[in-house]
Amino acid sequence: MAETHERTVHGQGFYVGFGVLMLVLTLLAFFLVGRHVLGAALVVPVLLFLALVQVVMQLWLFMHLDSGRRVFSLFFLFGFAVALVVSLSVWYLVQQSA
Amino acid sequence: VTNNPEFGHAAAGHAAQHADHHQQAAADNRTLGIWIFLSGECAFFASLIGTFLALHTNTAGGPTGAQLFDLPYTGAATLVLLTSSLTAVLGTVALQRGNLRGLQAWLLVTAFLGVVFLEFEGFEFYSFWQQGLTLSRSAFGSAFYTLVGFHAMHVSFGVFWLLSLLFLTIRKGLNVDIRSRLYIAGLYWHFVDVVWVVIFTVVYLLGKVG
Repeated sequence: MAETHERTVHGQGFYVGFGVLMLVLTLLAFFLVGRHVLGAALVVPVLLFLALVQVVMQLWLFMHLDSGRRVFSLFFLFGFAVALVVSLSVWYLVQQSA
Repeated sequence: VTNNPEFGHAAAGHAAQHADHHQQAAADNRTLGIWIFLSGECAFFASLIGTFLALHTNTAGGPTGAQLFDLPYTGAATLVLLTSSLTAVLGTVALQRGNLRGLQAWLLVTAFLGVVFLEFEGFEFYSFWQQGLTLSRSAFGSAFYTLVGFHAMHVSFGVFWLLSLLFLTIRKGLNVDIRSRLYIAGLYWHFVDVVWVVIFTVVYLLGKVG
């Protein structure tokens, strides 16, 4: 029982550093839009990239917080893949019809 | 954990071990359940985001996102929610170290930040409503309030969940069962936070860019 439980992967400092990095990435995204740093053509892919980095980092971290069977978290990747396909394909369809 | 090998004779120890195995199996089922649930939630929010992307330019002469959105305001709300995700992780660290007081403190802080975020959302909705954007004003309004509103409902439910677990730990302390409940509530909270990362990028930032 003990080996599947009580697994502290990282200390508090790691998570605080991680959280601060998230806040910095978020502030950067708001700053880019608010101060019009980049041109309209460039800012969209940069924002999407920043969001993707944050989502992947957060998911990676939280899927590794698992106290029990980590393999269960793979179910989530299936839903995540469906989500990507659904939202991007609707976007694509709208772009096509516009 | 209820199993104490120094206490009682072999039969009592065996019974306690049996109960532990039972609780561990329930905890595993719960973990599997939350991942499947969150998987479905992914598809749910993806369809709402897809709908928003399809309809956000249909403002029907009403206010547009670029006119309404106030970036410093949304930025402040975002910082509050991201910070609450961090405090939830610190709660999990306290839980893994068996630090009950620390866990309870972080749960309270996380729920409080969730309430602050909801206040931001409430005032924002009220402000947009005053500026003429209602659910039925335009397709943009319907898509916006449905997507962001459903996210806010998820945050509300998360606050309620975290507070109910806080009271549970005050009444019963920690055991295998309550640990797994805390763990899945934490995963739910992080998921809601990740959804907000997508929403503030796709709805607010890209909406402001035009």
